[in-house]
Amino acid sequence: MLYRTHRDYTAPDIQRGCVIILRMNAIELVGLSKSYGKRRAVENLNLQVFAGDIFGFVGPNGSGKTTTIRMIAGLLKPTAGEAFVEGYSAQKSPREVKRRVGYMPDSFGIYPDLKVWEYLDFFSACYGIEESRRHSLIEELTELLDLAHRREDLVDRLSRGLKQRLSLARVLIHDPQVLILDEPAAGLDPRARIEIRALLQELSRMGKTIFFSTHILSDVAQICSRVGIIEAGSLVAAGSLDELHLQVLPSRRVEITLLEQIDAAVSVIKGISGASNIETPVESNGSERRKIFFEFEGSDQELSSLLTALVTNDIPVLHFREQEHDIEEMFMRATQGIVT
Amino acid sequence: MRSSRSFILLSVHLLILVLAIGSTYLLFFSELTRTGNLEDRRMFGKGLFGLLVWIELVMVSFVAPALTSGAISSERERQTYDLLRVTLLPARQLVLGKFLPGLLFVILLLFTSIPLQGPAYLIGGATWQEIILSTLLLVVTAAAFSALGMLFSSLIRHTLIATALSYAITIFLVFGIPIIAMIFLVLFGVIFTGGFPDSTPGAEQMLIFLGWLLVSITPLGAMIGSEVILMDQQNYFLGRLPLSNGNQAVLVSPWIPYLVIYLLFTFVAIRLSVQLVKPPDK
Repeated sequence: MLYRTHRDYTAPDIQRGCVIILRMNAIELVGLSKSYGKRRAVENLNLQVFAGDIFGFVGPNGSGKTTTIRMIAGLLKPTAGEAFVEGYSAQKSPREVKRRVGYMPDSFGIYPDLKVWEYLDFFSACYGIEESRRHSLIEELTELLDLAHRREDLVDRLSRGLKQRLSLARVLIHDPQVLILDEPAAGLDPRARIEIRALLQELSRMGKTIFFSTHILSDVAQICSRVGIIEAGSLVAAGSLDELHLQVLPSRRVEITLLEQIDAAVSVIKGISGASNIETPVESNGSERRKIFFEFEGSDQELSSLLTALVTNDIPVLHFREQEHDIEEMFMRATQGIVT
Repeated sequence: MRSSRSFILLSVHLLILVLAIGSTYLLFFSELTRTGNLEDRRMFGKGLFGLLVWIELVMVSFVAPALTSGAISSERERQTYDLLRVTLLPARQLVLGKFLPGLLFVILLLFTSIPLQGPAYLIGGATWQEIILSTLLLVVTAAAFSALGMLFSSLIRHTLIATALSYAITIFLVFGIPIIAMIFLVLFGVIFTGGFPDSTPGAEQMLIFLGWLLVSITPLGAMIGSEVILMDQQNYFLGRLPLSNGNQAVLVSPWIPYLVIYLLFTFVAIRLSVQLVKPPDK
């Protein structure tokens, strides 16, 4: 499926009157499988990553993340199924895929006796970039990745964080639209990790589609527009964080702050289907405000009707909000700790 | 080859050659000058020429595979192999880009040592044709051994194993086969009887062909065999061997099949290396 069609939109999407914009699939995996003898590393993976997404690919160690990434990059032959990048099959049109993909493995391969600019110059030559263009291109990339002051340094002398930046510069050298990054923040200190995260967001603003695997769930929560959770080679959940929440955690926790009439509010909440575990903790700071927490299993429309009911009953609602999704909880619920 | 390693290797190589040729020349030539026998001098020159070519052959046998046997496997070891494979660099270019610099460096070693043939040439031990021919054989040997290293490097993940296997084959070709051939000849009594004893004409021809083939696939054999034909029969291309029935067997000088076999091997090994580098991992 190269484009998302009207069939891919759900009734609620249309009821909300959302504008349907056809988004191109930057990556599409169709029945992708990989076996090593009897061991199935990846099994029947079906997934779409839309153009412009920052897609976080999350899973425990040995769940098949790197195997999947290597198949998308055309480095590994699938046992079955196919991986497409911007409509081109990684197996049938590897050259077209290579033009469109910037791939960063989980290890940083270095040529220890090359300087930073020579390293980039070498890879730009490997991508067939004309010699006359290379100098300015390397200048631009080192500026973008804040490596300009280290251009003359040997690659081997860079810190891990700077090597990771250099890796990103290499990935961008042929201006690919799709970046496939295997654990880009692994082993980095907090500052370097935050900087890499900011860089990924910047690259996304530049129109790149980013598909990255990670163990760092806070990164996923902060920057990913969509997430896929893989375990034991199978995709257990995929979608935006909201969609994922609905898939993995069918109930959501709602918080209501009232000025008064707490009992009336509780009875309204009890009166609707899908509400459970209603709690009314006493404010310890002597505030007039009272809070109600409850679990809610239902659609956005039903939740909206509840607010309407509270207001119609003249209950003074100050705040009405759904609590933030806890990605760690989602991850733990989605996975069972199975390793292939 | 960016480091000072190439410069050191070149200097050490030339130093060994200068010491070997210089000391041999100084030790024996003053004695030969006193006797004044031109034929002795010429033979001494031949010895100098042979010594230099032999040292060059040993150098090629060790340096050529060493320069290429880590070409692809070391990329795997330092985890840059995948980085190269996701670029638009064709597998053929990747393999040739690794193969040619190694080979050219060995050719550089060979060419820089050509002036050291000067003493042998000046005292009549080697003609310019022999110098060209020996250099050509050494260059083709270097190409084949470099291609062998390349093939193992593409095939095997670890540089150490690839290098060990490359050396095992080159040492077998350069030293092993001649030793086996000597044992074979002694066992069949050829050396002591001066012919092939108790054999039918067909068997004799078969043995000659096998011997010629053996000579033609070993660098040392091809060089010595071609030189013997040149010295005995003054012919660069054909050699004649008397048979026990009074006829003569005409054989192509071993350097010709040697060049064909080794060039063919080089081509096949490089093609195979390209095929091994090309596909995605299974």
